[in-house]
Amino acid sequence: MSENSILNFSINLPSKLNIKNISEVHNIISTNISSRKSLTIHIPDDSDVDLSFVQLIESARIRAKSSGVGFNLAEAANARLRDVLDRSGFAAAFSEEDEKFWFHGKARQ
Amino acid sequence: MSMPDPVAVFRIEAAELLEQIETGLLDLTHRLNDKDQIDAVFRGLHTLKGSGAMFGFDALAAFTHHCETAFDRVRKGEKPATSELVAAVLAAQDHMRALIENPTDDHGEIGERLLAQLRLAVEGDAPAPVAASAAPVETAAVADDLHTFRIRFSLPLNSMVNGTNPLGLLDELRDLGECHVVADTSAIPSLDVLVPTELYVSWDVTLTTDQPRSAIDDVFIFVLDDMTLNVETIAAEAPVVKAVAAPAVVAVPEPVVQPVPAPVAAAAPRPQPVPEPAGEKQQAKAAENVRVPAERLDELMDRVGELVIAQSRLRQLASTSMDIQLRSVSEEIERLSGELRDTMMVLRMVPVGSLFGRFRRLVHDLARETGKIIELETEGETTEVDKTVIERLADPLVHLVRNSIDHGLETPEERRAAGKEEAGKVLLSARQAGGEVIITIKDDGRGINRERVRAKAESSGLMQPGQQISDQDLLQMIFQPGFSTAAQVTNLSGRGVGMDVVKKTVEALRGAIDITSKPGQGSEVALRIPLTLAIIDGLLVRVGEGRYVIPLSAVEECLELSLEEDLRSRGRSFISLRDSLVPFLRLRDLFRTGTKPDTHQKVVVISTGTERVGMVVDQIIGDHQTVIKSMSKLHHDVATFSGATILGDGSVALILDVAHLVAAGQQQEAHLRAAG
Repeated sequence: MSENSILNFSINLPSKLNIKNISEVHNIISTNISSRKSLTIHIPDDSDVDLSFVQLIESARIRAKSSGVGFNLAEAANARLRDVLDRSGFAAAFSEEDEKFWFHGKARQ
Repeated sequence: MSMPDPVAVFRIEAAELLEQIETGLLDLTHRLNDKDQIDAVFRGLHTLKGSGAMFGFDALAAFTHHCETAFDRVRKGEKPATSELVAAVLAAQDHMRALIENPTDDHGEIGERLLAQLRLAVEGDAPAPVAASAAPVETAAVADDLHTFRIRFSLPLNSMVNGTNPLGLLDELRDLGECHVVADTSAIPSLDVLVPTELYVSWDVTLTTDQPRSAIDDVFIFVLDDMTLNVETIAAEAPVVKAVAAPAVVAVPEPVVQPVPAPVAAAAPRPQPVPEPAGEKQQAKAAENVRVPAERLDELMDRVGELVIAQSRLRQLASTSMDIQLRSVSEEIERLSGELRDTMMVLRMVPVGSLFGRFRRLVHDLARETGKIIELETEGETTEVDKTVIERLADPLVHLVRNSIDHGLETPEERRAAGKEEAGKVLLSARQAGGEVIITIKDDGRGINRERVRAKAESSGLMQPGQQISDQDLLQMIFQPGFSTAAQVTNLSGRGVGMDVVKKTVEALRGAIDITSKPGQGSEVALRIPLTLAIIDGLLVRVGEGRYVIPLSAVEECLELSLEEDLRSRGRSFISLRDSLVPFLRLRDLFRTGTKPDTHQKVVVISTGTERVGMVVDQIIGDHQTVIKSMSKLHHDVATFSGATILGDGSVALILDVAHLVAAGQQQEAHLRAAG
């Protein structure tokens, strides 16, 4: 394993990304965001997402920004995630940077 | 220490919710127009549904949703609250219990049947705006007018983990009209300090709707007490709106933001974070009570019991020592362990009201089943009893209440004919008397028919034909196994099964039953139960080589029985006590010790209510703090002893069963009198 692959890390999240197991997801991201140059997360298409996950990702972005760690989604938010972002009013307050992070600059449906 | 299982915690909380819902429903049966009760039931159902879904009880959530919807329609005045609806939801509530206890079982058929009943109850009547009557002007006036509200709110920190879905609330707001929702994420902390189950987001919503302001409150109805909600009317297209608008701020001690009467657009600056942390109030509330699993209390009680035994050993050692300091420490430990014991006892006490609450539903169901009109009254709900007593008394009380209603209370026609009010009364009461709690079940029915009791007792061989026995003894016959005077066996009672179990249960609790009855006026059954089952004050006595404990609460007095008196009384076994003859039992004979009696034997007079009996012992050693240990299963049938305890020197002393010994003494007296 190259040094680069360790410092630029990517993880696959489980499909359950809601309040029931948000603590577990928090642990996964917290563990992996430390001592990395960047962290990319894969969110399964069939993921069960709720507001607690969106809040967690926003929190991880704050952590990454303050410590100079790159933090990205491997793919643009899937349909389910977009639905939560819209219904929760997160998307309505997005800046250009937020749009880029969540939607990778793609036009929203 | 392991964390409690969240599903187990949900089950406990769901049971409490169901109790609250049941109480609300039963209150509604008397006051169908009570909007507060309708709201309370709705909130309970809503919370149960939300929590159920969160913890994976999907069938429960789906089923409860239908009941919630039914009550929502009542709440909104679309449908009337009827006794049929209340009965349907009560029945549905039992199904919810089953869905909580056995979520994986197939409940489909029952669920469908109950939902069909519910639909019938809701749709079967013409709409009558019962619940809406509380706010008729508001509803009528604003129906066709559009208003724009600016709604800013934050939910309690623990709301998500408690089953509230913020997205669901926002969807409900959207259902009211055109809605623009902007999340305020400025309070979300960095990952290192984030508690992922807590909610840090607040919202700024602009809503244009034809619904009144109260519709917004309704969206938040089940979290309203704990959340921060600020609602401003920023545009009204009809003057009537101002006249009926409710106060703008709910549960907010200080203004949250400067009033800016402008619609919020996507590009508008994010609202200021709410100054008061939403969880602060919650935490303060939570600190007032701590939920502790009952088994931990039992464990703690066991430890206190061990401590009391160890302290007893220490006292014994100190009493034989000349070491002043050891004696001083021993006294200090004795004081502290006594205080600890008293504190522990208080911890185990629960109000008897928690027991009485269950009977409202029972009486409601029995009234429907029997066609009788029944008023249940309760008194002394705050009287506290050991939690184990509460648990064990539930079934006996069910039997007694069922019997009162089935055998005691007359039908409305019979009551009218007897010059009574149509509604029969059942009174459940509790009060403390010394070391006992007296729980009474009283009805104003026809009373116990003594002739029928006698006839049944004689035909069953429980007494000789024509035998003279006291009125109390005759009434006590109903507690004999298989005894029933009911002409008809019904679903409720009349099978003769139950009353003997009631007696056994009460006696197993070291309690007793008194019964009184007046023809045509009703009956009263009083259960006398000791306050606690764990540690008692006992009188330690010696009989032969063995030591025994007599519960001090039953001891009336102690007398000396000289050898001469003992010899003189042989064959009679009575002592004269202030002009009355009291039978006594020679425990040395009863226990077949094979030892010679002490020169100065003692008689310990014990009583259970009105009955007294003397126990002849060799020596009274003194008072003893007695930690009660259950007898093993092998000795379960030994009626003379109710338990055992460990003494300071490590030896075991048996605890005498007072009720049994008094009964034995009275029986002996009856035999002697019969023999002339």
